Amino acid sequence: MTEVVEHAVPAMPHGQGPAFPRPPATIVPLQGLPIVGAVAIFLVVAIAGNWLWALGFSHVVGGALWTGVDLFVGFVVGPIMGRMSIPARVEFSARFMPVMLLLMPTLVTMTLAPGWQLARHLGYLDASYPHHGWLVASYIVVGVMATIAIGVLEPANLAVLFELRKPQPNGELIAKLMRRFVYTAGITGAMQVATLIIMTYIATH
Amino acid sequence: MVLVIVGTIYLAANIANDPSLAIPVGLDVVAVVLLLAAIVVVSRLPDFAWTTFFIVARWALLGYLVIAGMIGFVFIIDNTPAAQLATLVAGLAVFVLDVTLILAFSVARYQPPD
Repeated sequence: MTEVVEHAVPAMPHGQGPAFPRPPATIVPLQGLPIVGAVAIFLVVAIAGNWLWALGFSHVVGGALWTGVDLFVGFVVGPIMGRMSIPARVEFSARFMPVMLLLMPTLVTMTLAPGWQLARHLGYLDASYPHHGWLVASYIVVGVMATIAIGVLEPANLAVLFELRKPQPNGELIAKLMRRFVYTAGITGAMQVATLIIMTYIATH
Repeated sequence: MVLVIVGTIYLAANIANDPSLAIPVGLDVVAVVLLLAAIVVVSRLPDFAWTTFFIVARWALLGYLVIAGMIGFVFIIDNTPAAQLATLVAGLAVFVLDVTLILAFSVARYQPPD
């Protein structure tokens, strides 16, 4: 007979639930702030100096990373997390969410501000531009993404991080807040695909 | 927030053609009214986690002021006509305050009251 050795799960003292991982010491990762500052300075210099290469670089790199991270998180990381154990899922989120708090607004700013300047330089803002409708479509796509990201996801992100700091975090509340990411992944994914279609169309016509 | 975004999209889509500001200004006005109403409602909440609220509000305000400042800077550099610029800046101000309120309230509502 094969002996199956099972690791006994230690009984939790009465009144204690599973241990929740603690988020890092600060909600906002302070070591990332110098990078954000450098990006902001680069953007100001690019915009103030009408530095076409820098505007293009910021817009393309920022946009590619924004779209890439959104799609990767929504369609790869999300489903993988869904198959992880609850403690593993929460531990990953506790470390992942602070980074996203800083990363995504930086990428969005890095994309939109230079993008507007590029469009102005290239004459895309004129209503007479033959593909002006596509540009307006991109504004609407960004508007939808901004509403979801700022109105739905970022509040949930912050609320989860603060909840994890409590001595006894409410697991049900955390699960409820994180479900927002699942529900909105489809919408933001579709918006990002629409962005790819619009931007590649404009670049090639 | 949605009203400001819609007004800004309308303005951005027509900015090269000296558009009528009636729609974006109207939307900004309604947005301001709704924001003030939200501030009044939140300020009258009994037993609320105000310490947490203001901690989050401070940092959110700083972050979104930087973002709004960058966007406003772009419009100033572009010599946007004064009336359009004023409408955009007003919209940005409402946006920043609204986002700050949303984030601070969303966190504080789940924290133990002071």
